This record gives sequence, structure tokens and C-alpha cells, in this order.
Amino acid sequence: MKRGSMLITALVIVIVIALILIFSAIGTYNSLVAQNEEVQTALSQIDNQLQRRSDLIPNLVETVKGYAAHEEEIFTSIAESRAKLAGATSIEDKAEASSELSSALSRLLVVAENYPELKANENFKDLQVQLEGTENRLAVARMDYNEAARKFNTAIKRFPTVIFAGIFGFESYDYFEADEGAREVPKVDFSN
Amino acid sequence: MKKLIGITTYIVILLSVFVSLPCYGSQVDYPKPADNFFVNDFAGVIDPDTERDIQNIAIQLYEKTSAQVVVVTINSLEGQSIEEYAVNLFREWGIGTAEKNNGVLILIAIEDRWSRIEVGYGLEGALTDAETRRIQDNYMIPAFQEGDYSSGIKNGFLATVHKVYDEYGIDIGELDEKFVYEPADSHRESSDDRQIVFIIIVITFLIIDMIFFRGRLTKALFIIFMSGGRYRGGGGHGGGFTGGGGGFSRGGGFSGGGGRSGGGGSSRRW
Repeated sequence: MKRGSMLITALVIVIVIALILIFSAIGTYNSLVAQNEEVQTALSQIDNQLQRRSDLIPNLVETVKGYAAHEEEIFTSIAESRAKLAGATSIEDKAEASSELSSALSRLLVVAENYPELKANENFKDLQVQLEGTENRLAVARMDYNEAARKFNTAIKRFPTVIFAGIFGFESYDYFEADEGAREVPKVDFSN
Repeated sequence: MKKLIGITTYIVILLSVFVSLPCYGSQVDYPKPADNFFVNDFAGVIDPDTERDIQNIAIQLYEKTSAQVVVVTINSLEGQSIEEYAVNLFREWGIGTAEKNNGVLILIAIEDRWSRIEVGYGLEGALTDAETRRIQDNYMIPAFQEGDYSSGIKNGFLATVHKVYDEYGIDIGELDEKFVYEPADSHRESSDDRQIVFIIIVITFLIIDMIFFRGRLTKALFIIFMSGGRYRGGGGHGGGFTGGGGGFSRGGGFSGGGGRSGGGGSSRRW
């Protein structure tokens, strides 16, 4: 009698633990899928903003050329880094090409400072805030992506998720890191 | 058998601690929205009449379109760029609805002399970066240069509101002039209700625990909370608890609906 009830007790404990494991495996898988999706969405947001910036460039360059045609060196470096970005596929390459393009564009804006007529041009002012807005959106998209990637990367390394992540084949993401300093587009003060 | 249930619940609670995530807080403590939500004059530069007008117009816009245009003045950006400050404040308050992201934040940092219009994802088509620049350059910055914050803010706000009405295809001429705002108390009541429900749940839990588990659950939870404190890191100011509540109380008071922005808009200096 006593032996029998102990057996039942042991059986119940084993079943409960098995159930807990199964349910936490399902829960873990689902939450990893959701988090993975979040990282993917954030990544596509970065791509959107990179595209948006690339689309702005021809217009911006045309406008600046109208006033400062001889600043050849900058136009070339913008064209080169834009092409390099278009060809980049990995997150690391994109991040590097993107920050090169950022710094080339910010040099363009610094040069524009020397041309008062250009600075006063309404079309140029619009293009400039569009560029600043896009750089800022890119910074936000990058922050969102890195945050989502960091959450995901931490999740798959944490116990007990690490076991399931290994079984289901989830791998960690690279971060989208820009060189510090390339992030800031210099602001032009029109009030002076 | 009772013992078995006790052990099992203990295991469940322990496992759930392993699975739970720590909460992250932002470095800067952003102000909480004022009672009237749409105007938050933390720097104290807007006169009462203007403040009331802005509030009434913002409420009418919100009721017609569900879009939220929020004005915030602060003294200092506390070392952040205005872009960073704006996007974080926007998201923390959840300006606009979560589905449409139709919020706008007009942020003015008086001491830093920065002005920014931050646009939620859903209104980026109506308020392009170039459009927000023109609004600031034409209506706001010239007034700010003369120290006339009230009229600069009001005109910039009105221009923004017009753009939002345009987006929703509403002719401003057809709006009624009745901008009466009666503060309702239902906001407070609803949060009281939630507190009562919470207290009832806690009491029920305690009674069940005392009868069936001789208080072990409470003890276990207590131990977990004590040790859980270490995971949260020193600076945990409980931001995670207040942040999410945006969508609940919609009664008479106003609050954000969980809207987000992604850095759209423009910043100007004066």
C-alpha cells in the first residue's frame, strides 16, 4: 500500500516535469520566432531608410552643383560610397558603407556653408532637412534593430532557452554599428 | 498529496523565474505628461489663454480624427540631442494610436534654443520633413527670436493641425467653433477600479494559499521578489510598470494610445 502510493507520487512528479518541459519548449519556440520576426522587421526598416537616403542624393547633388560645380572631389566620393552601399549585402558591409556615405554627405553640407546663395535657396533647405530627417530615421532604425538583435541574442544564450535555440537552430545576429561621429550630420544655422 | 502540490508549484515558480526577462530603463528620466496631455508647458513659457486654446483645438482634432498633436516645452535637453529626446519622449508617451501612429510632437527646448516637430510614422506623408521645416521657419523661429513663445507655439501648432485635418480630408471651415473642454472624472474612476480588482485578486490569492498551501506560495514569492531585485540592477526605477498603461484609461482624461515615431520631422535652432 505504502509502496504503491510512493510509486504514484513519483509518477506524478515525472509527468508534471515532462509537461513543464514540453510546454516551455513550445513557449520558447514561439517567443523566439516572434523575436526573430521583430529583428527582421527592424532590419528591413534600416534598408528602407538607406534606400530613401540614396534616392535623395541625385537631387541634392544636382542642387549643390548648380552653385559649387568645382567641388568635384566630394561629388565623386558621394557617388563612390553610394555605389558601394548599393552593392553591400551583409549587415557589417552595409553598416560600413553607410557610415562612409554619411560622412561624405556631411562634408557636402559643410562645403555648402561657403556658398551663401546656396544656403538661402529654399529647395536646398528642403533637401537638407530631408537629408537630416533621413539620417535621423536611420539612427532610430539602427537603434531599434540593435535593441531587437540584442534582445534576441541575449534570449538565445540564456538558460534554459539556449538548449531549445540549439535544437531549433536559431543563430545570433550581427549588430549594425556605425562609426561614432559619422552619425551626426552637421546642422547649418540659417539664423546667422 | 498536499506536499506534492506544494513542491510542484515551487518548481513552476522557480522555472518561471528563469524564463522571465529583466526590464530595461532609459538613461534620462522623461517627464510624465501633464493632466491635460496635449499641452505640457514644463518650461512655463506659454500664457494661460494660449494654453487653453491649444488644448481645446487639440481635443477637437483628436475627437474628429484620433490624431494627437502634443506640445511640450522643456528647459533643457539634459545633454541629449533634440532628435534623441523627441523620439524617446514620443514613444514613452505613446502619442497617437498604436494602429495608426498618428501622433505629432512639437518639442521646444528653451535654454538649448532648439525646436523640433517629430512626426509619427502614420503622418509622415502629410507632414514631410520639408513641411515641418517650413512651419518652424515661417511661424515659430521668428517669434522665438523675439522671445514670444506663446504666439510662435500657437501658430506653429495651428499650421500643424491644419496639415493633419487636410490629411483626413476635413475642411476646417466646417468645424464647429465650440471648443469647450469639460474635464471629466471618469479617468480617475477607471484607475480606481483597476486598483480594487488588483486588491481582490491579491486577497483571494492569500486566502487560497493559507488554506491549501499553508502560506508557502506567499513565502516563495517573497523570496523570489527579494532575489529578483538583484537581477534588475541598481537603477531600476520601475519604468516598465507605468509605461504600458497608455491604452487603458480613455474615459474623460487624455493619454497616449501607444503611437510611435521613427525620427521623422525636422529640428531648427534660433
